[in-house]
Amino acid sequence: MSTDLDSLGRFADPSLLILSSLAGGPKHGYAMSKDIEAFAGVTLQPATLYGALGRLETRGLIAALPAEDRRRPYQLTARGAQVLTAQLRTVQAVATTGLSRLTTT
Amino acid sequence: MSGPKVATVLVRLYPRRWRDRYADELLELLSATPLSTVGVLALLRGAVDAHFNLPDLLPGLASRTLRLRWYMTLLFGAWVAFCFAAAGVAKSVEAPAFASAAARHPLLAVEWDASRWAFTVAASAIILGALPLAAGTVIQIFRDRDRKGFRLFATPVLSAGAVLGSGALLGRYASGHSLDFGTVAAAGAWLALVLVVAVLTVRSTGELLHRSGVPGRLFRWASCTGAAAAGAMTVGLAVGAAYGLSVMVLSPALFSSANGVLATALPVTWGAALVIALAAVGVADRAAVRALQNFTTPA
Repeated sequence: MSTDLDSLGRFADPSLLILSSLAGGPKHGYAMSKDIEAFAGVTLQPATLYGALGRLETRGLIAALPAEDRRRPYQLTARGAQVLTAQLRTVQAVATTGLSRLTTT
Repeated sequence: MSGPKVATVLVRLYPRRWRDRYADELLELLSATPLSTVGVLALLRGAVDAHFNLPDLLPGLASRTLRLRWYMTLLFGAWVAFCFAAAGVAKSVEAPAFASAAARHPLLAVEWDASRWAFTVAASAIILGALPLAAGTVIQIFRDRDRKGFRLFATPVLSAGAVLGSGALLGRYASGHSLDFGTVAAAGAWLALVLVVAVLTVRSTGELLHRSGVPGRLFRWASCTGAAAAGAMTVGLAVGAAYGLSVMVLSPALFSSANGVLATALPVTWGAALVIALAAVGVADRAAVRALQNFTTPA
């Protein structure tokens, strides 16, 4: 399942951040950008954000909702939630292993 | 220029189809954040990425046939740019001195012949792939009495006529005049016309390809001939660059001609042709590979 994000190349990391942000509910670009800045301390360039959003939408991991003025909210799809879960479990396993090895040395 | 204006200009560099879907949202986000140098570079990189990978990041282009149409448009545009570079080099070596230099050095003759063959193969492959598509599209345009289709189809045809006609007039004018300001200005204006016409041709051809209802197998055929064209362009670039290097080493005196920039081999003009050809071949190879990969990806 994690290969879905791995295939995104340089957009894999921004995509993980976007999916994590949308796990908290639908958001438009600006809200996503601020949310990601708040929980990850990462400022995504607007061009990078939209490069990743298009790829996630094409792969069916997120879906666009009706636009509000010039802003269009996006929401996580069921498939997107599955991919995010798998990816975060991998990250968690790596973090747990790394941290436990650090404490034993 | 202010930040929002710069952002608007940069977003216009993205493909029209991408802009139709995302430009409003992106501009809205850009208006809420100050545009830094990093942001400008990200937008430039994003525009290039969008041109190369549009089917990957635009849900509306998800089908196999639509993806193929996009890659064919990219490949055609790259071939047009490659022709520009090749025409520039051909123009700069039309002086008789080059023919005698090639006769004196077998290596130069072989390299020049090889680059001409590569160009001929690339052009033939493009024509072989484009003819069935063009025929199918014309039949469809006539059958459907498609006015916009007529206009789009007429653009490249009329453009080619305008370029050839004005080129012939320019040649006649230049042959009767010495190299003065008027000749250089006329040549510059003609070059500008060629550039505009090339952009219009690629745009209208791309739009025509997307409107065309011809069977997908014709696009698959065009992908194969397009891949052959991209391969020939790659060979042409390599041989052409080797030719330029060989001329510089074996016959450096050829670079001292005083026939003016447009009819003279100069390191700067050859360098410009090389950069254009390099970019064209990079785009063509990538588009060809993506088109062929498209056969194995889900529809």
